[in-house]
Amino acid sequence: MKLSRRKFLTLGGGALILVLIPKGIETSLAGTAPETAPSPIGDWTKEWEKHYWGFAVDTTKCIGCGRCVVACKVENRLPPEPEFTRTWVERYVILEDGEVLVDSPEAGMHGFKDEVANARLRGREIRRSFFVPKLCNQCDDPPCVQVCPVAATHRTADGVVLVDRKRCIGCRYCIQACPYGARYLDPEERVADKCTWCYHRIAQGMKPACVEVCPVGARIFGDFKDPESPVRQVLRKFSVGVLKPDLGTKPKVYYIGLQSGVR
Amino acid sequence: MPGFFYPNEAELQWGLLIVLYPYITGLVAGAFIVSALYHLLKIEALRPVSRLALLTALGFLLVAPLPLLAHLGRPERGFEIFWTPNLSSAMAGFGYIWLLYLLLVTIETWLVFRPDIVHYAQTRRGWLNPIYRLLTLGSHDVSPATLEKEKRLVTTLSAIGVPSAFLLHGYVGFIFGAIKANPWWSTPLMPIIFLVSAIVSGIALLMVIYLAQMKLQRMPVDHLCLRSLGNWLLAFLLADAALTFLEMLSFAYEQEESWEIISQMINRSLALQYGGFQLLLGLFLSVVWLWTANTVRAENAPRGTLFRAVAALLVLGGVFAMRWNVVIGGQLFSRSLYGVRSDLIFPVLGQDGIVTALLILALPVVLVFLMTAIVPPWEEQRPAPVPEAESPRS
Amino acid sequence: MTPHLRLALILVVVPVLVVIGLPWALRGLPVAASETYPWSLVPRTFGENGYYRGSNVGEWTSIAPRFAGDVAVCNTCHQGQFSSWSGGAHKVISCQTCHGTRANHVLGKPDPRPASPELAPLVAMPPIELCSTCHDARVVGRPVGFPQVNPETHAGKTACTLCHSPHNPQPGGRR
Repeated sequence: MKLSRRKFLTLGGGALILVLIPKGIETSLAGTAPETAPSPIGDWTKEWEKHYWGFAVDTTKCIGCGRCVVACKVENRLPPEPEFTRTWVERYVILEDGEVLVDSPEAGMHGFKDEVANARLRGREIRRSFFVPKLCNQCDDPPCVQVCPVAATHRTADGVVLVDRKRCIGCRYCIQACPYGARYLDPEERVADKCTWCYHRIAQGMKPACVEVCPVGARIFGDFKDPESPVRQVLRKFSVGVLKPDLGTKPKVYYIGLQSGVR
Repeated sequence: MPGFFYPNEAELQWGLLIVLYPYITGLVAGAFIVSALYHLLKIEALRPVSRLALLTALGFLLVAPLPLLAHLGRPERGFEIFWTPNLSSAMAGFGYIWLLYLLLVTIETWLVFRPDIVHYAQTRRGWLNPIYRLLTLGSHDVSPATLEKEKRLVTTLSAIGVPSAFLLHGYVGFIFGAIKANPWWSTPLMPIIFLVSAIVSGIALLMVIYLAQMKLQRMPVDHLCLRSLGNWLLAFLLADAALTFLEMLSFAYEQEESWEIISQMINRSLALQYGGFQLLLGLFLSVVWLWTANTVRAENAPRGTLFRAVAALLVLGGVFAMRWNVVIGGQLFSRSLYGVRSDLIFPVLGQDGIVTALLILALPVVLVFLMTAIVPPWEEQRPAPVPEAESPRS
Repeated sequence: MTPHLRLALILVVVPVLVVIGLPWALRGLPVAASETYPWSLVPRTFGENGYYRGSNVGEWTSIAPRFAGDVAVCNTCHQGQFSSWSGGAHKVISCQTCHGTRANHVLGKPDPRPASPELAPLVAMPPIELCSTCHDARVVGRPVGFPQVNPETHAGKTACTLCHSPHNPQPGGRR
């Protein structure tokens, strides 16, 4: 893949590309060789109207262990580097003098063990501290979909925003347009990438990988069209907030115990 | 301490090439406006550069999409923007607007130079002759009646071209201004700021190219023309300064949530590029030089021209700094508003590197010089009008 | 309009129309059988479910999961561990949180190795490190009341598993 791209760049000419680019340019999704049989789902578009997914995060429960970040990378075959991540965990430490310290060492994938971050606190009183897991909000009014010049990113009928990796041109406008930093450029395929709420799993009735491995139930997933769904119960029981609501993106990740100052 | 950035913000998404993109399209729009000042407003003083302005606009216009294409992660898919444009995207229209504008400028330039092309096709021999003959498209019709018709058409094309140039470059400003995720970009002033600075940079570029060509070809400089260009530059610079001030004033006065981090960025990461290059050199000093040039007495015209040349170079640098401060500045702080950085490293080589950027920036200059060699736009080399009777050369 | 002007217009407008229009005209023809660039310039399924390439949805849903969907199946073979786990405080934690991906394992196939040691499952770590992932009291930010100890002062270098069963840990350390 890389070779053909470089070849293209050196050759330059736009119209010649039809002839010049070898078939190898077509790369498989997420760069995977099929390792298991394809999932048993048929045409998902015949069923997706029956679902409308939602996500809740309980910031009062998260312990910052970072297993969700690792699980996401494994499940979705992501690059191991923390600067290309579909989900991450932030730590907010609010001091008595009002200052807010935020960190997310290596996207939180190895937890928050480092004493360096703690050293910043030495001698200062903590008012409150907590963890905030982040992931794609699958906005109902997604700016990333709005700005994509070639319609490579789109919203499904069950409310998930996906990236067509075979059509994305890598202009990174969507990365700029996302207020939440949820997107990055895949360093291998040079296309935009982001959390899909594990679309391949939820279409089979499984939970997203991060929800599956969360040891404290801080990540809650469900279907708004199912009355018994955990997200519906969370939204009934708790007062929740969403990130940057003033931007009008209508995010669908609902935060329990969302402290002001979390951005 | 840089503070906090979202993990995915570690990489700089839009680098030098995206700084070049609005810079080059701005130069196009500005150069075209100068030609329109002559063709539409009949500013006679600008006649010596009116044809050079078209060639300059065309040369830079041809290169304008190149930095965009080169920065794409998958440039081989770039044509999708024509085939399946997403109409809600502020970027999708660029390809079409660019293409329409290219058609317009190409036809207008061709019409303006047609008498020259026909003349050279008939008089010049050697390897260039087939090129001229090809450019005539098989017609040597330069009768006054035809030329008069085409002159009117050129005026019409200029009239369409001005709003098109505004559209092309205002649109580039909108690409940034429409990003609500980024408080440094998201302002309705963005298209108009881009537009005015585009005109400013285009006039300055024309002054520099004109003077360089006159020096190289040992031809006399038309100081009156330079004086007119300088005064137009001054007028637009003052408008540019007003807009820049207005933008900063509303940022600083409104003090929205983002102001804390933006003011840190301006003071810490962009102190030199914003305060130094964009404001002091690009706006203040160039205004001073242009102003001073106007106090020079007529008999010292070359000195006035020198002052204006200095101002033009300062403006070119200042507008580049402005593009830099918008594009790079918008990525120097975290969208979490908890971090500012200034330690970005720009690669020398590679797809996004400094060398690529310099090559792309040099390309239109080379193109313009080539075109001025093929069809010299200078007054001294205009072919004499063909008499009403049968053309003696044909 | 003079003939040369007409020719000039044709020369500039026609190529533009061809470049923009041809891909749409070719859509659905056998040459455009492929769903992806470059053979199908406008993919056949473009616009099927909305203004995007329809077949992209199927590409996403057909990715093979690596984490199994339901850990109840683990009881089929690992009954001892399963009953111990399901009776204790750790029953809220999925087997795969510590043991890693098991989707292939339950199908009788080997699970893929993690792409990098950083992505290894918790069970690949020494016990103190494993348990400290969640129970290290020195980490700032954890909710009040969450069971935590300082591993240095709690038992020194003694492996946690000497006193606590990871499947069903007891506060007093009754193994």
